[in-house]
Amino acid sequence: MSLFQLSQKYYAMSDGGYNVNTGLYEKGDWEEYDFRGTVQSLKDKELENFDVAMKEKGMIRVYSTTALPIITSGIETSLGALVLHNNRYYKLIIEEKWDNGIINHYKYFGVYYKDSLT
Amino acid sequence: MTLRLTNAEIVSFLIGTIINPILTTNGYTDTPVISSHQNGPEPVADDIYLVVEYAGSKTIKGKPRYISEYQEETPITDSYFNRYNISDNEISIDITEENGEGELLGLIIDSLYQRDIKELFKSNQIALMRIGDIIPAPELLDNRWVKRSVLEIILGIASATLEEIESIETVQFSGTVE
Repeated sequence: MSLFQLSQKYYAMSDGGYNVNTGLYEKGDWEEYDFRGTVQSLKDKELENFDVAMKEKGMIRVYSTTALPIITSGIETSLGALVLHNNRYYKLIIEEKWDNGIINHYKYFGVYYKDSLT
Repeated sequence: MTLRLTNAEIVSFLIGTIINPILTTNGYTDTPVISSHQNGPEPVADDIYLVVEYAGSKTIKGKPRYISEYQEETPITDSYFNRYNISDNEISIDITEENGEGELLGLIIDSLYQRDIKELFKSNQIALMRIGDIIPAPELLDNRWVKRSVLEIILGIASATLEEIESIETVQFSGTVE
């Protein structure tokens, strides 16, 4: 059972594929997933560690016992999980795994991505 | 107005009409052939795939050719021609065999000389001008050699600009000469 009871949503792109006739990559669709966790804004102290560009876009932190996919490259198919918070989508950029034996959980940092996935 | 095949159309023709059928005919049914420079993932890891890349173009120097189409409007004196100013262009295409030593490129070269393949070029208004050599281009990535071979082929296409040229066919005078 999750320690975090609030239900949250994240979105991840399903696998796409290359069109045989054109050789062009066709992206998958955004699929919705549920997880339990908390999503919060960053404290001023935490914000100091990040680039100005990231801070100005807006950042969040996510706590969950569920492992979420994080960004592996800048391209849209490798963005990992986009967490919906306050009607805005944030891409997760950093994962911290807390295995202290008492409350094992993951902490993620997210940067604003866009307002809509369409 | 300019009339010309786009680079994307040429690359798409090569992939869908030429290269994929050649590979399939020769038993390579699962080898991906992709267009270059996309924000997509590598199609297969550590296995052979082909990348088709538009690598440049040049206009062949010389006087443009003209083709005119006579058009007619009423009254007869307002006729005009559609004139196409046609230029010849060479399009350079690089085909890269990733994770391979050029066997598939050799297969493609052999097949390009086949009569039915030449007909496919012809029916799509593309000329197969020159076929280059297979050049090995291995790369050292993270202490690991990645095999790679490149083949350049030169295609010929015509491009045209269309302009309307007005002309007067008949001039009539009426009046009294004194």
